[in-house]
Amino acid sequence: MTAPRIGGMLVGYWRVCPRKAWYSMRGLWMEQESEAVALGRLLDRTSYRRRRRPALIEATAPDGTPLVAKLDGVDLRAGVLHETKKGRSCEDAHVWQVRFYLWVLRLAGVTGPGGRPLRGQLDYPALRRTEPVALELEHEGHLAEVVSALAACARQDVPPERHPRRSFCRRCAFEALCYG
Amino acid sequence: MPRDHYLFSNGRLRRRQNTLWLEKATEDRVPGVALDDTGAPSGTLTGEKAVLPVEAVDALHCFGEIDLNAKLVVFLAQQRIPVHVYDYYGNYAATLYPREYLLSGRLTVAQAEHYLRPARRLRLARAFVGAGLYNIRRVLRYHARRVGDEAPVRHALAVVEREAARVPEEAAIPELMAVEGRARDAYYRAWPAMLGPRLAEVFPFDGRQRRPPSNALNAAISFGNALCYAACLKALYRTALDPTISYLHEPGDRRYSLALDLAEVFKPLLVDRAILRLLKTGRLQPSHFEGRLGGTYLTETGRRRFVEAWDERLRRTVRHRRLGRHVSYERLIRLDAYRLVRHLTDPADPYVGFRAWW
Ligand code: SF4
Repeated sequence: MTAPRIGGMLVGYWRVCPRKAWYSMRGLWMEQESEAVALGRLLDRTSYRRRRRPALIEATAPDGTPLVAKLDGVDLRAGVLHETKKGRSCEDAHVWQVRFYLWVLRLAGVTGPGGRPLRGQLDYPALRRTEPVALELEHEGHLAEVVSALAACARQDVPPERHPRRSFCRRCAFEALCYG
Repeated sequence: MPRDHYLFSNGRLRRRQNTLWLEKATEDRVPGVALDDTGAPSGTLTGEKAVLPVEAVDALHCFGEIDLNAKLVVFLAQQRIPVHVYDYYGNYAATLYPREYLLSGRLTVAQAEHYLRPARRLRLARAFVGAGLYNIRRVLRYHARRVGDEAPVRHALAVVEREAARVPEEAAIPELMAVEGRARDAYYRAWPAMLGPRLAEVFPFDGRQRRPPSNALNAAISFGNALCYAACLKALYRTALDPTISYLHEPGDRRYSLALDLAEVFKPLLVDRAILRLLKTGRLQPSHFEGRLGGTYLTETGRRRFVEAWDERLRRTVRHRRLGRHVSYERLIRLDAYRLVRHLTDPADPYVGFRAWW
């Protein structure tokens, strides 16, 4: 399989569990998961309407892997990239998804006002919370590694091992697929 | 949790905002008499309505003669609700299978690959037969302990065990089918003994006859198998599996032949146990069967009772060992479909088919 364009959600999944990322790259969705995604979309449409524009940005990773960032809303005037999420606040996967977007924007040469890099923000309307997300140099190095690993994973015929912590799988939407 | 809904009356099903409305009609049809060919719905609308909020519906089963229009079909498809249609006799007729929403090209390719390569196909076909026979053994064992005259049940058990031992040896699908057929035959022949002398007299059985079912037991088995097929098809619809590519059955035996493969595993557990229980508790009586067109069928009341018991059974739960929590019998079918997905994506994780442990 040729490597797919890698998006932010996959990067988030990879951080959670490579097997989950592999299943997703194969189009093996869990129903609950697709419902959660649909609910997420509904959330973005209903919350924070002002001055937001959805955008699709493409770039290429240092190793040549094509990247794509589907952005919920970029507030160009304020120089803030927003990502709306439902559920638990500040999950590792969410944070890395936003860092990935900031990275793609930087690679694509998109900047905020005055040429400053954009800042990231996670919005949790259901929790009435927001979390700032920054992209540091070390994060960029890690993202480059994750993207290379994802591209290699996509070419792999069999799924990666299950997550080493069984208890971790208890809150994963793919549990029934992995252990059913 | 959305559930399956079973519509027995005639009438018209419509969309009213986010609700399904069944406008009921009188039962004007005369059974066995040629239906009118004017295209008009049978019966006249009575004004009686039943309302179903769409979120509460997982699938629909139409046993009555139901009129529906394109607008409703579009709505049901958007809501991902499959609709199973049965004919007047309760035979499965068709499914309105909504557009797929979980698709994986790679999985479909893997499914086809496993069909085309004989060794791979055989491995899966064996798993379906093996699990089916295993579950038949569970039913026999369960009942062997509960009947006075154990000999016929013990005999059937021996035959099924002998045939099951051949599953890993047979090298072609037709032989595997024959193994399954012989085992099932011996199994069905033990039914009168499992029912006990009193019921065996009321429900005589002379082996399995499908089209048309020759007696009450055959009618019940056929009806139950149709429900099981529909349940398996729904489970497949909720996964990215393509229901038309199958292994034990030839694709084309039925349009959704993979549902037949899966049903092989679950019929003993879901259908056969339900029937034996319905008869033993007297919930199904001889009066719930009628002769039509040279066959025997469940009456509408009989079907209602069967469906009630079926629905209860599907929602009964059991503690799942690998997941470590309670799951419904219905969910077990979906989990087996997931196992099939795992098999197709990872040879180190073979599908063995669900095996009841109780
Ligand atoms: S259930 Fe566990 S192994 Fe499977 S995808 Fe989720 S986290 Fe990974």
